[in-house]
Amino acid sequence: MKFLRFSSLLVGLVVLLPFSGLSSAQSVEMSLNLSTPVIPAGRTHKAFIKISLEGMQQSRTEDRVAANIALVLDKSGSMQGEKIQQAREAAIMAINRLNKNDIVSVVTYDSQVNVVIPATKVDDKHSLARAIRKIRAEGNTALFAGVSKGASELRKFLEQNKVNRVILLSDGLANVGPSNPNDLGRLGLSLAKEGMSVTTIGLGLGYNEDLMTQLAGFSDGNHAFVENASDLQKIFQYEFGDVLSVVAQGVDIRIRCLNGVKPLRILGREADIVDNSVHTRMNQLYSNQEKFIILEVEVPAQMNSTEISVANVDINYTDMFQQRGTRLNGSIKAAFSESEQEVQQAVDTKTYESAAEQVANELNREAVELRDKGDISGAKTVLEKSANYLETLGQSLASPKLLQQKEEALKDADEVQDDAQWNKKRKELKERQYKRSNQQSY
Amino acid sequence: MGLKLMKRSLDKGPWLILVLIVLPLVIVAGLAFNLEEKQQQLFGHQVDALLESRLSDVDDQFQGHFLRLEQVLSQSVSELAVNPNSAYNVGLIRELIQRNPYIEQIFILDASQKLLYPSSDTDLRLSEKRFLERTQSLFQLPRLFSVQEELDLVPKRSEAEKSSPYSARLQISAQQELKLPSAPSHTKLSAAADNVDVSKSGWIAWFAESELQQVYWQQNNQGKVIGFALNPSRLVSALINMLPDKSQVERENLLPDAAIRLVNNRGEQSYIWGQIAGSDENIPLLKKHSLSHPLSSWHVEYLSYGIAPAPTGWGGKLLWLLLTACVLGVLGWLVYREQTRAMRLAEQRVNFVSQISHELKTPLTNIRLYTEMLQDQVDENDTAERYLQVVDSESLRLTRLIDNVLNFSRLQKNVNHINRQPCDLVHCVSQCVDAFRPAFDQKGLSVRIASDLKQSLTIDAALVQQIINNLLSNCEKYAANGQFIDINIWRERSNAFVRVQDYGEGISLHEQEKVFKDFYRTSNQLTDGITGTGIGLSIARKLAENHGGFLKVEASAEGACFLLCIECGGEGEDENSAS
Repeated sequence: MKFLRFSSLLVGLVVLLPFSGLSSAQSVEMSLNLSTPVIPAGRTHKAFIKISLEGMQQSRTEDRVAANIALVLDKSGSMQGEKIQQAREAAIMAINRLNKNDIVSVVTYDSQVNVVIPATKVDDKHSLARAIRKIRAEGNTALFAGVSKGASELRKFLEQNKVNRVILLSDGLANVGPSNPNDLGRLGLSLAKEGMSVTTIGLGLGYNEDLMTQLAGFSDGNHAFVENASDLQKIFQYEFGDVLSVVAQGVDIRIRCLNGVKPLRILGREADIVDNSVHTRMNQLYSNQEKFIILEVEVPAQMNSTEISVANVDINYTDMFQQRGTRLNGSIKAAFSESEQEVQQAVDTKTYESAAEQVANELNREAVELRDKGDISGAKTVLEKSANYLETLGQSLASPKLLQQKEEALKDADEVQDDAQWNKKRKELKERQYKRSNQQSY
Repeated sequence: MGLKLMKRSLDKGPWLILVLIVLPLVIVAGLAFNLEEKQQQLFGHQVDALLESRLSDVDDQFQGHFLRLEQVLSQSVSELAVNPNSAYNVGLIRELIQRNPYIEQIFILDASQKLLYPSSDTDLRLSEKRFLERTQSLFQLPRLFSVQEELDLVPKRSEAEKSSPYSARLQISAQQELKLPSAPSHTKLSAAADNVDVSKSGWIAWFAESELQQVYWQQNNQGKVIGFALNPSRLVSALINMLPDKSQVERENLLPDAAIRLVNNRGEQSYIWGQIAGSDENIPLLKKHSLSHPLSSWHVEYLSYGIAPAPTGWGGKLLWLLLTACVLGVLGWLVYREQTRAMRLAEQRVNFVSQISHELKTPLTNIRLYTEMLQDQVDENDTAERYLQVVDSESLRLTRLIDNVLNFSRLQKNVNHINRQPCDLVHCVSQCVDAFRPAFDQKGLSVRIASDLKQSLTIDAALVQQIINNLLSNCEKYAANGQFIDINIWRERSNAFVRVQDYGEGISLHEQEKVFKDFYRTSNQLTDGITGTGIGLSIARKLAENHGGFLKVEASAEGACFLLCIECGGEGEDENSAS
């Protein structure tokens, strides 16, 4: 660990932090890192760039951005009993965390959709709670319409200086209205364009995890798999904690690779890669939470002891406190050396660790896809490969995190064969993949 | 006997009255049923129209949405190309796609329908690549964006804005839905519309990967087509948001006991609203309405277990029926009571008359007997002899009268006593004529009997005489000025015929049958000076029929002509000629 400090002096990894200065008003901090800041000279080499964004701690806790939240609750027949009861309590408790600057609406759906509480300021928490306690479970699952109406309630107070979020709780398959993951994904995409994000909470083992992750994915919302209804309150707390700590929205990230460096892929997120430029988005950043992007690049062969700029990064976002668009930019440089030792010493373990986590995550996705096609042994092989990869890197980087992920991969490889548990396992895997690629806080 | 008759008529009476009660009731009930059915039909039509209007309201709202979308998209077109001649800026287009939640992708075609954007020549983004893959087949269709596809679909805006408060509400939510981040103001919009010369525009709905995608396109005067592929999920979401939710439905009491269902092109339910219990699949479908282009493969359905079963007028109608039945029943009972009383009275009278007649016969017989005895002792030219003849003839007349009355009551009781004895019919008729001779002589009538009948016949002479007496009595009364009465007697096979022809006034054609009815008289005026009871011919005909024959009026040039036919036993003509 010690050598890291030296290496940062030795090699030319330079992060140029924003022009706007490091004033206290700054709400987002960006850091740019290369997994291998010193690259072996003389041949093309693959490397990972990590662009990490972190919302700053808000100086006063009461000084937060107003939230505009639509709770969309499944009250279909399958929610009867403890589930709906826990959901009601979780919702009431979560709403109690809001204050009168916030807007809340509650929409329930079974076969039909009911706007239980139209978008309203959180003034009278008692009457809100009363309305929520009246919710009874019955009927089918008109999930699409429920989300639509929830979004419609958000739209009544839709402002860019609010955190506009639909929180969907469902325990069943959407069986009324559009129901395939793609339909919901497209809806999520459309809502994201309006500045809304959707968090999806899957309860029990009956929901469609693909649908829920796709719906959340386009808007960078959170996704959680809650097996026991008793955990709902906790999850709602986390979720509201996230919502109430948003510091930036509409984060637009543009990366331009320089000097013949070729962008290969962005791990875990969707991005447009055209020639040497990469474009991707994040919907929001939370305070004290790191969100990052891992870009894999191919660096062309360079002479020994040279130093080149690898990429320029340009970030635009809406600062929720200052209510204005803010711009950050910086660039990444890499040094080249023939000395194996120098290269080894320079390795940025944290960055490499993040990259390895995402690579393994991608392998995990691949395994689920194979398993979905019925190729159980293929899935097992991929997971074992992932475990090997994590083992190797975990050892060389001395990363307990990666070693833990390796154990996970081995367990997955073992459990992926169990048909009886696959439904639950798949939900777990999907949730974990989603959380890893989006760096979800809970 | 009298009891039997009474019973029979009493048996028939109630039935008749029952029919008189039931028939009007049935008719009234039938009319009521008919009326009710018509009312139900009318109600059905009204309901149908109501359902149709509710469903088409939904359609109108959707059309309004498309219209507003069109305006927003037109505005976008003008934003993209300030100068219509310049090429569209890809950066601007991408930014618009990024910003506008409705637009999934934009494409631009040149005048020759070559795809300018997104074109595989330039660097494509992921979403653009996917779009091209999906729409490959679409752009191969010839003349897709031509005048044929000219929109005929969107109703006038004013049309969408009028109509019920229901639609007005939908309108509001629709406007809210379209509150885009870059929503154009109306003034800006009209200015933009002036700049861009839109020669054609329209909507296309096409299936891509089993899903319906709506495209709005505009062609400018250079022939360039810009198309907006809408995000289908967002479109459905927007449509759903225009429709009321459960709270609104309950608050405003929309669709009591019914639901409306929005069904997509795959036949799946996209949304349902209304106040109805039960599972959606089991509710009967009452009405279906296809949506207009570009949602033409979608439809809305009206579901209900049945419309509030029409305010049936049956309650009131049944009351009326019951009342009518009561009134008719009471009336019927009154009539029945009256009728039985009248019957009893009539019965008593008839009995009385026949008893009296019977009582009269005995003294009359004695009168005649003693008259005849007296006649033997009185000198022929004595005045007393003349008086006795009058007494004899009058008492004969009285005998006939009484016989008629007795026969009448006997015939009424269907008593049929025929006493066949061999006798000479001509002699029998002559006897009758003889009895009438004094009266005929007095009126200057002479009787001519013609007959070739030689042998005796087996007949009831008394019965035949009664018939002949009645006929002659009529001759005496009505044909006194005819001078002659011709009587022809002959036999054909087993029937004997007697024709009585007078030369009086005759019987008019329309009365020829009526004269045989009970109590019918050609003239009832007492001033005629003609007396009678009106039962003579009726009795005569019945007697003839009882004797196996008939009595009828025959056509004749002058006077009345009666033909009597009686059955005279097995002695046929062959036997006759053989003897």
